[in-house]
Amino acid sequence: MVDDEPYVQRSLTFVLKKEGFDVEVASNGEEALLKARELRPKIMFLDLMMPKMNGFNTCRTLKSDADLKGIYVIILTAKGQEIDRETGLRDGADEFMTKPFSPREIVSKVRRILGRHE
Amino acid sequence: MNRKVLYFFALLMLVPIMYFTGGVESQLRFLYYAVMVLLIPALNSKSVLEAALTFCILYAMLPLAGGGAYPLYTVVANILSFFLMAIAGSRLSDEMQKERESVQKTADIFHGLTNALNLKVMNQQAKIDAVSESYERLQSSDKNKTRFISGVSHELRSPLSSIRSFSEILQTYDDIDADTRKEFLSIINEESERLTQLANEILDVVKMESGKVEWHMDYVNLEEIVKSAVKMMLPIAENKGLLVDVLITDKIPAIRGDRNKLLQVLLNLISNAVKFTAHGKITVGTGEVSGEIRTFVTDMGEGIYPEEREKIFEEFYRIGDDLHGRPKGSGLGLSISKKIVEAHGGRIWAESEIGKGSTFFFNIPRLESVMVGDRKGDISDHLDGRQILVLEDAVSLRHIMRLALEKLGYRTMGADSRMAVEVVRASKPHAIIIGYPEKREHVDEIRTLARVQGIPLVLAYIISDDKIGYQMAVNGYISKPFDSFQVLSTIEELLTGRTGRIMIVSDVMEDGRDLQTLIGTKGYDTSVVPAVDAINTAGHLPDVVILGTLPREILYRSIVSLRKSKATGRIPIILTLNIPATDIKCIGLGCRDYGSGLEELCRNFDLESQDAKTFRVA
Repeated sequence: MVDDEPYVQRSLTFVLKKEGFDVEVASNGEEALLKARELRPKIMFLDLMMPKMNGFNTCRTLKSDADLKGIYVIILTAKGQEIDRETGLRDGADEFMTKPFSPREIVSKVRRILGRHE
Repeated sequence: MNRKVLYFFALLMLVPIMYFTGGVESQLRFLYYAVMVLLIPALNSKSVLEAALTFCILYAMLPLAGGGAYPLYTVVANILSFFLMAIAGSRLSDEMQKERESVQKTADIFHGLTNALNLKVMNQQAKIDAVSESYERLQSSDKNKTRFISGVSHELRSPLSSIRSFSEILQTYDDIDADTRKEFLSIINEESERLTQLANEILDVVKMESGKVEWHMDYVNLEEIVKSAVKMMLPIAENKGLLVDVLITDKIPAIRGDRNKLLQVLLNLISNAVKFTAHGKITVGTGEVSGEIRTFVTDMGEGIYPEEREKIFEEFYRIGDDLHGRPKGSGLGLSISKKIVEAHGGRIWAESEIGKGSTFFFNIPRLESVMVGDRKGDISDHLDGRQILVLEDAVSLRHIMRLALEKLGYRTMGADSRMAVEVVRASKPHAIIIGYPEKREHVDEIRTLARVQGIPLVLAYIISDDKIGYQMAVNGYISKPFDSFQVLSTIEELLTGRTGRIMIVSDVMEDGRDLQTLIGTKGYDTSVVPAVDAINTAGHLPDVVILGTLPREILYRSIVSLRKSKATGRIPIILTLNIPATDIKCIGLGCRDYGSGLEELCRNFDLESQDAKTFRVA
């Protein structure tokens, strides 16, 4: 769960943990890549506007790494314009979601994705 | 002249040539004809004849010089033919001259046309340049608006997102423990607060951008404002363990300003200082510096990088976006403060030393630059001989005003409200005289244009009636929102120092009440009546009448009825306008006593004469 806003981290972590999932957080792109290498998550929720390394760069770096490109990347951002969606998908993201989001939706999406993989 | 002499000489040379080569009988006399032909286009008819005459005389003297060798009739015949040729030649020369002149004239006309065309092209070019400049400005302001809107929508989504997530969580899960529940609820609360604050700030910015803010200008003391602001922010500062120091240097003179808005600026600056200082002291102070009141807030924070020192005043710009993650606050505070300070005619800026701290300064000039223009002087004092635009829809009235002004030595242009904007743009007048506004939109455009171009706007309300003729209708103007200084000084001037009775005519209760309260503070005896007729039936006649915002027709008739009656004819009238005083540089046309304004202007203009009758307003 990559987002620099503490409340977003808190709400998503709470919900996903409650539903029985394992959640790790990162506050910026650098931290995200480090933790991804270490922990190999199945899904990554990625915010775009972050300090140090923004979402687009993180996504591209991730997807161009042989070890990490298997991670399912969902961009979750307040930036909702067409151009952002296009750039995100071009950079390799698997999905694009905008804020405000519904935690319930997030949960069902996670279930769906993981269900498929299993 | 030289050519003339040359040709003359050439012709005369023929004489000795012909003499020495056979004289009168020689074939060479045909040389004469040849030379003549050459002379015709070169000289005018008079010169041709003169040359021919001289030639003939000399030629006639040949036989005398040669001594009787030639028969007289040959000489006479030759001379006759020479002369006839000369006459024909001179006629021809005349024709050729005429044609030359007409060709020259045509060439001149073409020249003139080309010049005129060039001028037109230049004008068009100037217009195109002006248009493309406005277009560029519009584009950039459009870009700014787009940036603002996207900034706004982004800022709004963040707290909204939190509110939504946590309320949904609380709704979905029944088994959340009490502490967590409390935590989530307080987050929802906090984010709602943040949203409300943001909405207010955005509204502030938008209102200020579009000039719709109501400024309540009065005499204010920055010392008092600084102390109030510090008092309000002290708890928050002390919470963080910070000290707050107040530094007032000497007694500060009062200035004209909006107290609440200036307080807002101070609160914003102090709150920023607290936000960005980890420990130490915050100093707030104010003092007079070369005619301006300078106020400052110093903190011991980490400082501001030079590249950011100007950017921080931009909308939604927040320091630390790149380094520390998103800080609290909307990024609008400083841009609002900037707008407020600039509306007071002042300047706001920041100075800083990295690692040591920053100081935010703002200056407010002491002499109010937004005040209504010098009432003591007549406009003639600084407009001698300049070009004035008279803006008035009624043609006859416009005509009269222009004539009157021209008699006083000004050059004038006239326009009606439709063409006014174009006329002002094309030929910047030195002042614009505008009558009582018919339609608010026209006035607003002219107002803005005049403000932007720095052209003084003069209001002149003229009424006309069969009995009283053309008169300056009112003696003074006040504008809404009511500015206590303007209202009171207008009244004082008209009462010339005495105290008096003031009657307010208004059918809008709040206006009447507001004015009454405002004026009452000075000890005048005021009363409010709904219509002008009440004045006549009142026990005592007022010394000054203030007309509130009445519908145009009623206003007109009210003034006419006041002026017509002997009893009320001489009472000074003050008119209320919805045009902010800041946009009007001069009021009236130097009309101090009733009736003296236009009458003085039309001094030499005979209103009784034939011309006057055709100028009656329909």
